[in-house]
Order: sequence, then C-alpha cells, then structure tokens
Amino acid sequence: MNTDPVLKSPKPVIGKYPVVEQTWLNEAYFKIRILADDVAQNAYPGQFVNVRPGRTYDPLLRRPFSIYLANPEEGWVELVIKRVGRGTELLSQLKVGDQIDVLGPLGRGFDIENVETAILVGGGVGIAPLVFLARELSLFPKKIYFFQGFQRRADACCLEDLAALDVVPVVTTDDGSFGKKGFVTEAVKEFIKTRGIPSGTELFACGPEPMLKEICNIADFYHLNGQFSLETRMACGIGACMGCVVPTFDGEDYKLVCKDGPVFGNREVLL
Amino acid sequence: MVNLSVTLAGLKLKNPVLTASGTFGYAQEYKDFVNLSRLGGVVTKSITREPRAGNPPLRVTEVPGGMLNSIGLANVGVDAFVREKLPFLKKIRTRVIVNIAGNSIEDYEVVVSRLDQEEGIDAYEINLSCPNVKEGGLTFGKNPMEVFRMTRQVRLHTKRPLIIKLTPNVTSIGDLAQAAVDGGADILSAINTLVGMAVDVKTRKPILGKITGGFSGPALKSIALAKVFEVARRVTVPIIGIGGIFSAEDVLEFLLVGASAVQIGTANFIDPGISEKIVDDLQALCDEKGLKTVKELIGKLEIQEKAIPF
Repeated sequence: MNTDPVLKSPKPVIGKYPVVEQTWLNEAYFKIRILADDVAQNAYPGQFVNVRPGRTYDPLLRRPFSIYLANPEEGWVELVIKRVGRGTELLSQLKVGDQIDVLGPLGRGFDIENVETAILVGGGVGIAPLVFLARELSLFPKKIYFFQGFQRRADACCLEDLAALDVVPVVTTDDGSFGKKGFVTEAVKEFIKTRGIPSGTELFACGPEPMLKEICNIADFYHLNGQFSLETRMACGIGACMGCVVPTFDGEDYKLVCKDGPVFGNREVLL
Repeated sequence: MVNLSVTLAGLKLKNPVLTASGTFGYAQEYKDFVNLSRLGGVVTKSITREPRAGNPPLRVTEVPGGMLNSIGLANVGVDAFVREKLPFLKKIRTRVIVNIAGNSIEDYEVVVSRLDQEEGIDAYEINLSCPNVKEGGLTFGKNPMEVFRMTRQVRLHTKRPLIIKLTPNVTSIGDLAQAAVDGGADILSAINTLVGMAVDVKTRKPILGKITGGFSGPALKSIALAKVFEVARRVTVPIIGIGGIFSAEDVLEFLLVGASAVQIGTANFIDPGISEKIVDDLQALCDEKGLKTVKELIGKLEIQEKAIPF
C-alpha cells in the first residue's frame, strides 16, 4: 500500500515543449508525444501533467492528463487523450512542431513495491496511466494481467503498445463486437473465480466511476489491495486551490486528487 | 529604471504586485515556480479559528470567461497556521498579509489576537464574504452596518495595517467602502468574486456541490475596474485592485482607476509563475513609458468630471 505520501518527490517543471508525434487511435482518442526531457526524467506511472489547451486564456484552465508513457532515454512523454470538449478539441488539433505548455510531472502515482501479481483494469481512456504502469512492472519478474474494457470495437486502442510488453491481455466490449462480451469488471471476477489469487496480488484500476466502485467491491471481497487513479475537475494541479477534492474513506475529511492522488488506495477515499 | 515601490497606509511594498487569497495557498506551494521575494507581497488563504475541511465536491468548474469555485474556506486553522505555515512565510523577503475569515465577530477577534502575538505578519486582510452564523447566516460583508461593526471590533485588537476586502455582490460598493473606513480600515481591497452558478442540463443538477460559487477570471476585470473606480471616488484610503489580472497592462489599468496595488488571483492557477513575470513586465512597461515611479499612475485616469456615472 502506498501510505507514504511522497514516494518520489521530484520538482515539477513548467515549460513549452514541442509535439513530435500526433496520432489518432480511433474516432475519439488521440496520442501526442511531447519532447520534454525534464518531465520524462522524473515521471513515474500514475502521475499526471497539467496542460494548457491553447495559447490564449480561452479556454482558461489547464487540463490534467495521466502520463501514458515516459521515455527518459529519449526524453519524451506521451499522452492519450479523449476528445470530449473544447479543451481536448484544441489539443487534438496540435500538429508536429507545435508547442504545448506542460506543467508536471504532478501528483502521487502507483506504488509497485511488494507486488508479485498485478491485475490492471482500464475502462475506456482509463487505460492511459496503466500502460506506463504495465511497462514499469514488466521490468521486474512480475505476472501482469491487463484487462481493458471498451464500449465497442471502434473504441479499442493501444493494443500494439501492450503487445510489446510481457503482459496477459484481456479485452472486453460492452456489445461483444471485440474480445469478450460484457463489462470488464465481470471478466475480472470470472478470472479470479477460475484462477484464484496468488499471494502478492494487487488490483490497479482507472476508468469511469461505476467501474471503479465495482473494482473496489472486488478488492474488498477478496481482501486485495487496490490502487485507483481518479479523475476530477481541477484548477492549479499543485495543491494550492483545494478545488479537486474527494472524500476520505470515513467521510470526515477530504483528500486532494492533485497532490494526495491521483492514485489512492481502496480504503483511502470514498468512491 | 522606474521605482516600483508603493506605500499603502505605512505598508511599504517593493512593488504593487501581490497574490490574491485562496489562489496562492500558503505561498510555499509556489516556491518552485516563483522567487517569492520578488513579489510585493503574498496574501494567504483565509485562516479561521478552527481548521476547516471545506465544501463537498465539485468545487471548481470552468465557465465562459473564467471559473467558479466553492472551496468553502478549507484551511488548517489558526493554530496550525502559526505552527506549520508561518515559519516558511517568515523566511521569504516580502510582505506577508494574512487573510482572515469566520462565522462571528468573535471568531475574527480571536484569530487577529492570536496572530498579533506572532512576528512576521505585515498586515491582515479581512474576508467578509462568509455567513454570520449568529445573525441568521447572512453574509457580513453585504451590510454596511455589519462591515462597520466588524472593522471597529477587529481594529481594537491590532495596530498592524487592516485591509477590508469588499464584495461586489451589493447594490453600492461605495457604501461598504465608506463603512469600512468609518470603522477604522487602513486599506481596502476590491473585489472579491461575483456569485455565479453552472447547471448540467443532462442531469438537471448544479455543477458545483454547493450550488453557487464565486466567479473569477478574465471576465471579472471590467467589473472590478468599475468597482475600484467607484470606491476610489468615494474614499481616500489606499485600494488594492483585484479581479481578472493576467498581465502588466491589466495592472496599469487598475492603477489608473485608483488602485495603489493589485492582487493576482486566478491567473496563478493557469501559470504558477505569472506573478513574478508580471513584476518583470511591469518594470519594462513603466520604463518604456519613461516613468520615474509607478506612483505617477495611481488614479491618473484621464476623465472629465461630468462624465462620471455616479
């Protein structure tokens, strides 16, 4: 469990960096690679960057995105972004050579110490922080199961990045047009039921709230540690505005998604 | 090179650029992005008698021209502030202004008395945009008589400069300004956020957990300028202008309408280093204009008396 509030506390940096690749992964998701050596050097899985959507103050606030992959050797970070509103629309129009204003890496990411077997569960664009996690885990002799849930075949993405890693992939779609039919959480339950749980198993998840709640239930039922990457509206990203809160597990207080998270343990916050 | 220093009721600032309460944490959150000692001063989050967890989420959302927030004065409380936050603030070479909030006049008196025992605080800014629990929950800051009573009571507990922060959510901000000055305020700051809300038509629910929140951002500037102008025509005490300041040009606008200093607020969220950049740009802009001192600009709006709208 990541009870230590600061696993690594590199200073975040702020700067304008060039986009070196832009790829549409499907109709709604795109990937951008940013040449940002100082961000890449310090980033670890589960952390995020807070990015300005344009050059003007309209739209105003930065948008937070999980780091999809970071490559310290080549000095780049990648983001996988779903186009949902004006900010992400503007970001989707960035071309190779354009500059992007990045603040990061920010927040507390995943804790992978003492993990022997990892079950990763991503829903939709929620797979973004898990690919980086899978790559990091695969550097060690750990067993990694990667469950990806999408609504339909057309939404599926990032499979080729996972194929390069030593992970066991399981894909589900709600309509059955690709992989197993049904919710990804059902596939996780079925997997645990048939395979059992080796010691040192930990659940890692990112995705829509109902999915995270169900993963929380699974973790509780099987007495597993779970770590969840949360998403919320955010302003500063550095713990100053106190805008991005989530209630603590006992409901008595709040935690900041930007600083205490975005990754939380299943007994840390109330989903 | 222009002299950027200004003095507000004995409070000497190396330049007129301060940071606004609630947008700069306890200043240490910004130490990686700003050389804090280059600022005219910092204003802390609102400090209350007891710690506050704050409002339920969602607390922030973007809206056209700015953002809404309903943080609910989340802060560590005065004791933890003195113990954990003030030591850092004492180390930076700039003015430290502590913003104070509460639910009763007594709350404010207790916090000011407590802080007045501590070194390293240069002034207090009183946030009156909170409900007066003992008087049926109405906001202190909207009623001139309440503003007068509050200012007079807090005044009794300190000799340090006392800044009263004015809300724009009233019919006459001039009446509030006059009441604060009559109560013994040394300096006024204006404006606090405008009350606003946003609705999710899909769920038919308000977007903010507390339904309404404070609007801030670029679109606040024109309103804030008009309010500062109005206050400056009404009273003679120095004014700190606040509202939608994102550039040195914006600072000049506030100085011209009558502010002696300014606070940078929401802009800190978009660019955590912006306050220091504005100091640099202000220097360059004033040099370009051949000014000897930035004071030459304060209240020097070119107007015809008969054109004044009130």
